Amino acid sequence: MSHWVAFLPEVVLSLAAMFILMRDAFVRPDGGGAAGGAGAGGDHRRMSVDCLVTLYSIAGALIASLWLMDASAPTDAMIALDGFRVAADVILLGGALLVVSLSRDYLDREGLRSPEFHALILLALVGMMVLVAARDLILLFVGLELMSISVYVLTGFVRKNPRSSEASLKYFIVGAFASAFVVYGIALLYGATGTTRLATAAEVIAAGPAGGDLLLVAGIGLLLIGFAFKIAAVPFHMWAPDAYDGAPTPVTSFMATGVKAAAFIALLRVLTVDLGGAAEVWKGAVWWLAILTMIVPNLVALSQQDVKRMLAYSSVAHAGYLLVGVVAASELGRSASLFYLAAYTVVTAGSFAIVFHVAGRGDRNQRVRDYRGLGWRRPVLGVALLVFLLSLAGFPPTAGFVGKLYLLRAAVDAGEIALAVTLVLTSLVAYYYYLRVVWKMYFEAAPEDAHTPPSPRPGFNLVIGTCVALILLGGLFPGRIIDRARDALADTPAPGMVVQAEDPPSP
Amino acid sequence: MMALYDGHWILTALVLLPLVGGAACLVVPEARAKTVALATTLVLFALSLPLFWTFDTAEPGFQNLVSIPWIEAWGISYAVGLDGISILMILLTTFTMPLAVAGSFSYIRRRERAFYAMLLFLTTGMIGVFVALDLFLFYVFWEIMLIPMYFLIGVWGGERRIYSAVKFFLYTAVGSLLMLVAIVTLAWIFQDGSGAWSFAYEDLVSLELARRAQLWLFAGFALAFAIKVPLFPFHTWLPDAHVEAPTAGSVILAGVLLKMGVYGFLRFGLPFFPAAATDPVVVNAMLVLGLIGILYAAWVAAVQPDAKKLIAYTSVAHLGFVVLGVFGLTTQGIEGGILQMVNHGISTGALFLLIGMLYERRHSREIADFGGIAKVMPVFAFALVVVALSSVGLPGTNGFVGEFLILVGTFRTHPWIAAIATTGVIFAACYMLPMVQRVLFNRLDREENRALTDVNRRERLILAPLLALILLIGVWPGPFLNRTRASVQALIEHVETRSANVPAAEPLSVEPVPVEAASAGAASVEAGGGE
Repeated sequence: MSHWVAFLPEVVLSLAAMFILMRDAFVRPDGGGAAGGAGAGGDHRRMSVDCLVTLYSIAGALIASLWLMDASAPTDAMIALDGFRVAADVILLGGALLVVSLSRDYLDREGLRSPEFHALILLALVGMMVLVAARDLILLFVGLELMSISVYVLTGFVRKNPRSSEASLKYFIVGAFASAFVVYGIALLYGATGTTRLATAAEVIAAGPAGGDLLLVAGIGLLLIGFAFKIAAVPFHMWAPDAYDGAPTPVTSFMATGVKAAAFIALLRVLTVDLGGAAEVWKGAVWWLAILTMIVPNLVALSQQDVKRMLAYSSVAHAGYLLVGVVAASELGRSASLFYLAAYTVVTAGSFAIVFHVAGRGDRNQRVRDYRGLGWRRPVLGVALLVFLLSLAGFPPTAGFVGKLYLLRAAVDAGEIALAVTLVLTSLVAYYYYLRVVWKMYFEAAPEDAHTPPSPRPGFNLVIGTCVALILLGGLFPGRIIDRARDALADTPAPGMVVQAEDPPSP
Repeated sequence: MMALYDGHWILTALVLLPLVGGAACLVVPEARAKTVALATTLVLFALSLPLFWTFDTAEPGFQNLVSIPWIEAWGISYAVGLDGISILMILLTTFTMPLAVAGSFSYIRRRERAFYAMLLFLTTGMIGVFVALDLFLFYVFWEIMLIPMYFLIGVWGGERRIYSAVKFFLYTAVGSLLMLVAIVTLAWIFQDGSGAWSFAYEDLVSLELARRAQLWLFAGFALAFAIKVPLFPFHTWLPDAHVEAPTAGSVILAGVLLKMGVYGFLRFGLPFFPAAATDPVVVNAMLVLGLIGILYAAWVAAVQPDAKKLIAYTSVAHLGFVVLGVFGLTTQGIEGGILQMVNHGISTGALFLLIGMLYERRHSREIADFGGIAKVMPVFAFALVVVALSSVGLPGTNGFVGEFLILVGTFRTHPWIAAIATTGVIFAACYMLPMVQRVLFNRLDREENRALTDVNRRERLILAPLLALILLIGVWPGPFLNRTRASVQALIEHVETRSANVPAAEPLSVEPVPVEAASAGAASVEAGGGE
């Protein structure tokens, strides 16, 4: 057995992506090749198959990833093979599973049936997983680009919709800019430490920077700016609301869960573990990023009249809460961030799904006022959205509350009382705009001519119900998940420590 | 029967039963919801009532204690228990709920299932707050209560219900969120000393904190409790919430929710931070704010044209008395405060129910719309007079006992404050009695009022236990005070010995090292590092 097994989850996903693309090239959608037969029915059937292939391959990758749990790789390997990676994979793949299974109806409704959608989702997933697992800066950049480029295309997937195209272009330009920052930062880090391997770089930094402080500071600074763009931290967030708003909602959901989580996890690991020795260089900057990212989007979200846009701002604000875990720069901070991300992923996937279901064809009804009376007309959707909003607001007994408490503990433990207080006060601001949706749903009567969204399919309800159950379970009995999050980090090798190379178990 | 109550299941049953009942309300047919809710609350009351007799009055500590590990990694457990401070509050809650449910039978006409489910979910939260002995658990119950109350006001409330519901929610949340930071900090300080995180009451109360840390953390808790009480100037959410809420909501707000602020001071504020709670500046600030609440609310109440709003303001005044009693830091004062909380729950709850009955018949709460209705509603008039006199504190009613104990207790330590507060009793008569006069007596000069029907049998059944308790506590308060005495004395003793042991001379001296970081950090946030 070779170390190639370490790439097994990525290989599964890549093969599935190839399969979907190839199938499109070789198999005619109507099955018989008759002219005019390639109607909506054929498209529909093909998309169902694509969707199933995607779901199965994600599930397969998830199993492969869990199977790798007991394996370990030498610290100077290019790719990590430890609890942290598995935890990250579970969050990313689980989020993708939710997003893909929920978005089928939307794609059907909006006529987005071409196979590239699912193929790109899978390729973006591969990029994300490489990004979070990379122990080498070059590989990290490859993962980042694979993810980003796939998502640029997905953002503009509705070609005929100018807003979608605009969002895609904006995202692309800003994203390319951010990538340039990252790659320049990598170059300078290489200059400072003489290596692109993160573990080796950590040793060099621990021993005292070889290439002079300036290179190191500049390198870390540029890397940080690049990642701040990717996770949409204020003041590098300007693109996010527009891109989130313009993209087809399932893609928005994918961006807000997967893309953000992947970039964030990579940042968390690189900064707090590998560059932990140079904490004094980045800590102040990240502290300010966290403060600004908590305050600004929460205030802006107050005045949003469009639920999707409001959720976009709220998603930016959550990046601020997560940064608190980075500033804490401790094992507690890392496990808190992972827990928070997991809860956030489930909630975001669920709430965006409800938003696009309620919006109806052409996304016409996604203003806050379109939610009037929804809670009474569609009780299942109403209760689910209520639970999701409460979790986003950090209200017990939801996983969002436990996550927030986790982050507070990390902040207090690190002596960052200012961050803790900012976190709770900005949550208070957030209460208002989350509550506004609740009061539209339940306190205001729907107008006579109101559009009532159709009853969702049982499958949709099932997935949404799973999300709700996960959120409540995570809020009431988080013990096991907390233990897992902690264990995931327990075997993250400390910088400089050499672990004996070990083959993963043979299949 | 007695043996059963030595068991541990009773408090957990009290917490879970309304939850189950609430869920049942959601699934039964619309017309049955009220029956299910009434049955649940009656069973709940029947379950809780024996606690009054099984309670060991000589025991100052916790009884019926249960502690089950919950989130072990964080030192969080499901811990519940009962002592002299909480027993009356729990019984008050279970006593109020059937009345609130029965009082809504004809008032609530739409979305009944959801309404009664919310009432019952709220009950779980309220009982949970009073029995929780783990700060995480306490916080969860404390916050969970907001959601059903938000819905009760927002869905079934009056004209300005959305504004009031959101205001109620946000005001309460400001305090609770800062309290959460304080709770986490406390748990962290415990961890720093012992090596393991813990949110357990017994662990955290044993912490010996430096004076400065105590002051900051006390501030974190006190804001949450002061808003809930509500202490002047944090009271502005209350008139809105009370006026817009449906009758049951007002009854519960006044009867139970407002008690949680004072309960929080007694359960957490005083024992956790004895040096801060006995600090002359803090004590005087609390007393003066309580005093302002008494006088200001009385004056504002006197000019209200809306009867419900008038009663809402009397809550602020009454709770001002309770705060005086608590921060006078004497046994009589605190005992009187606890009793007065019960009294206020009974009399103000009854007042809201009476106003609700009037509103159902006449669709108005303007005092000026009535007059002389004692002629057409004699039983109603009798009830209103008795309840109003109890609210004013006439000897022979329960209100007198509570206020008297509070004033005596406060007089021993702060004679001037007590003396000024006494005028509040007079002002109370100045707003309550004219209201009663203008509604019940004067001339029956409006045609609409002649057709009013007197209270029916259901309403009499609701009012009877309230009137009985008003007179019972008024002439025989002993059994109620007995229940609280041992715990209150233990509390005062704890506060006095512990506050004496804290270095008081130098405000900056910090005993445990870690506290320095916490308090310095807190200082830099909240006061820009002003030392």
